[in-house]
Amino acid sequence: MAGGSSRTAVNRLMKEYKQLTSQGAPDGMFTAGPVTESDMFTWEALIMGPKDTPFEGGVFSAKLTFPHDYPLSPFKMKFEPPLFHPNIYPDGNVCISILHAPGDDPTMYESASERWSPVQSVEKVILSVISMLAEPNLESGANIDCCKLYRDNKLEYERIVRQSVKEQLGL
Amino acid sequence: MKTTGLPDVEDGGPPQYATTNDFEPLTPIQSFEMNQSLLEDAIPDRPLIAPLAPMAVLRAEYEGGSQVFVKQIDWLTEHGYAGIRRTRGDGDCFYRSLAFAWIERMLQAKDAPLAVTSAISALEASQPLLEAAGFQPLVFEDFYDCLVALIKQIIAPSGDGRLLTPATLLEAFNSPETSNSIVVYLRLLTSAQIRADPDAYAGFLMHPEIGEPMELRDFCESFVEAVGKEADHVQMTALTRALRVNIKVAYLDGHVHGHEGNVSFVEFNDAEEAAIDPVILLYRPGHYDVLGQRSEEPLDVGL
Repeated sequence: MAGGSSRTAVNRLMKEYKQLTSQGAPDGMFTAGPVTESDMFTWEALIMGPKDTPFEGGVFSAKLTFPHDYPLSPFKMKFEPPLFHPNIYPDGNVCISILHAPGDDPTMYESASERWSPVQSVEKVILSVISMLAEPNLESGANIDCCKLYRDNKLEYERIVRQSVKEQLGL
Repeated sequence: MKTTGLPDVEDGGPPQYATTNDFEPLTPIQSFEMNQSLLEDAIPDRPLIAPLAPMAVLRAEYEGGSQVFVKQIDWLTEHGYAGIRRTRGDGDCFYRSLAFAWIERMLQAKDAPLAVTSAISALEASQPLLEAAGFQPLVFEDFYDCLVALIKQIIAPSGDGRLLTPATLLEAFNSPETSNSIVVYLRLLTSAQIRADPDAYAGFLMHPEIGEPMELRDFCESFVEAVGKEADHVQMTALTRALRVNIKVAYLDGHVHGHEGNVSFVEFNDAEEAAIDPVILLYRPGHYDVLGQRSEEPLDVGL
């Protein structure tokens, strides 16, 4: 939606930020907020690698970029540096149905899953991404090599992920 | 005769092409693509909602085509409908048309304070309904405030000391931020109303393209809450009930109803003692606009 001010978007982002800082995320699984107070449209999220997954022990940084008509349109989420995961593009961008508006997906693979609408929020999306880390969705893959490896040799996939988590922690 | 250098071709007479039957249902992908291109065509320069244009302008569009449409338009003109207010064909046209015409009716009401108070009380009652449906106040209160502030401005001047007029109402509905906030609130309200009364709606929740029954939650998320998804009978029933408003929809569909050229109206009556006249919308296949009655405002003849 071109033009117009973005008062609604800023209001909404302020409220989400306040709620996240006052209540915190469930089980302290992530933190998120604007990178600088002067720009509400760019956030950074830090996500703990979920337990009992090869990501356990890691802390992953993602950039959230909000459009000026948020929450009518979804935001974008990009892991920096990229994560090796079937649903994350090699450049780090996350491919998940909750960040797509209904109708964005002519293949209809995602028709039964949760889609973006203004009732979603940063918190709900990040919680979905966390469960995606634990359980990849091979039907809508973003990293084809990773999808293949996950399907054909899950142990090797897990080894690579664990190795990258260790490297990230400097071990 | 044979052309050298080219492979042999079996001569089976003129090529046979599969004929496309226009009435064959489109595959989901075809209809997706068609919708996308229609949407993109519709978007560039059309206002979200336009000034009232005389019926003659609508008639001119059909004069070279279906005579049933022309007769139906003449019938509407004879029955006191003076103009059409077009809304952009972006899938939100029902919600936007209804919201605009509803607030316009309050402006025109003999007892405007009563009309405003009834509307506000229906909207106040809607907040707990949304919470009961599982929406956090965080996700809807900005949209709610936007709609309520506009309605209150009919009787109480806003910050700049001005009351709402037909011109500033039109202006507000052409500001994407205000207009879309109102559309979203009405969508959430529609969804909450359906979720609150599953027995009343469950049997009617069909996938609009495939025509198969859908789960209530899936239907609400995909075809009610989602911006750009057109409203059908279920959504219209739920929303008029939640807003306690009476609406009449004139079906300009080119079908013959009894007498050729008559227009049939579908009514949704949810207000017992209405402070405002019914909202009147015009339906043409796939689209809703607002239908205006005589002497409501000067017509925009220039276009």
